[in-house]
Amino acid sequence: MNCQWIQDNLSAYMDKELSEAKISAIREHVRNCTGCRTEYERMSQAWNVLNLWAEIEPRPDLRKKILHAVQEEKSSQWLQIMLPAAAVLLMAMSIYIYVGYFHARNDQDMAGQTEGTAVVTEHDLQNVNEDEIITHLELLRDKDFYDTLDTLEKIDYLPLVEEVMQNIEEEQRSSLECSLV
Amino acid sequence: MDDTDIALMARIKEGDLEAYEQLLDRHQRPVFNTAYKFLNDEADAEDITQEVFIRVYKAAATYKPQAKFTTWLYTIVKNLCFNAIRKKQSGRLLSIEDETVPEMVSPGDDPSEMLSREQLKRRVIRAVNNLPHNLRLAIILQKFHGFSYEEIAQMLGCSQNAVKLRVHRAKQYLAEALGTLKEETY
Ligand SMILES: [Zn+2]
Repeated sequence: MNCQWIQDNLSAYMDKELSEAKISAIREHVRNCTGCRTEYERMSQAWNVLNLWAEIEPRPDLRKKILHAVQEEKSSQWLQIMLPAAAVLLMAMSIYIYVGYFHARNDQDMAGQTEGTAVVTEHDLQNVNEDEIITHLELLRDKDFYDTLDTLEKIDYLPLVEEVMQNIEEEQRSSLECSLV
Repeated sequence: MDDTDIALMARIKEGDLEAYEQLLDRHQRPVFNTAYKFLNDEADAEDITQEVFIRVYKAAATYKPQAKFTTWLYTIVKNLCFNAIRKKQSGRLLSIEDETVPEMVSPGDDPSEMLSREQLKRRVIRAVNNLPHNLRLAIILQKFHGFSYEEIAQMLGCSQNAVKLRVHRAKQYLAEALGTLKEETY
């Protein structure tokens, strides 16, 4: 530990920023070395003069100003949270109202359409009896069904029941007349 | 009601303004005095103090105690002080990073002169104001707050060795600026 090393470390020594061993070594050296002691005294005197530079009290309204600014910050933070939430809520309400209005209009239009004409709705189709459909399909597989269809197609005129009855009555009357003659 | 700074920050995060007032009352004066000694201007120091504590409030929501609260707090103080200095001397060549200790203009006059306390105080303040910014802030934090070199290094974003060197050079400069003083003058 030469004088240069001691003087380079005087400041750290004053600030107690050295190990205990180094502090005692410097203390010992400074006690015995005039040059290092002079330097140490010069530095520590100057350092102590800084004590004259006392703290000052900030003006009382500084605290008020800070608290006021922080209150404003708190309100603006609250707004920053609430504004997007309000916007989302407003958007949701708008969509809800619009969709509700759209549905109401659609229902009205549908009512107008169905007033005069019969419209088969999906709902009606769903209610068709499944057994009925199966029966119709099985008919198509039956050979007699087609023969019957052929017969029916060949008939030009199908007499009414009253006409058939009248013919029968006439036949009976003429045979009776014949037997009487 | 003797919460640590970190506990107060946790309460502030939950929106507790009473905790904020407690933290403010604890640190407002030293923060103000740091800025005042560094900038040598009361109005600027007030602006910086206000800005520091607004930032503390805003940061409370995301604050994570990784170091001592004061280390974090004075890092904010340092940044704002350096910004203020930069604004003041925009156009001038001297930068924050410049650590050249100025030449002594009037080295202590008569070394054995008797100075009044007021004269001595004025002289030491003038000497501190002549120091490069990094050296000036280092000795303010060391002398008036008793922060360790390690804490100052974290605040200033440099090594402990750099802090040791800065404080040492600042003390040497002050010693030169004040000259040899008679013991009874301080
Ligand atoms: Zn020596």
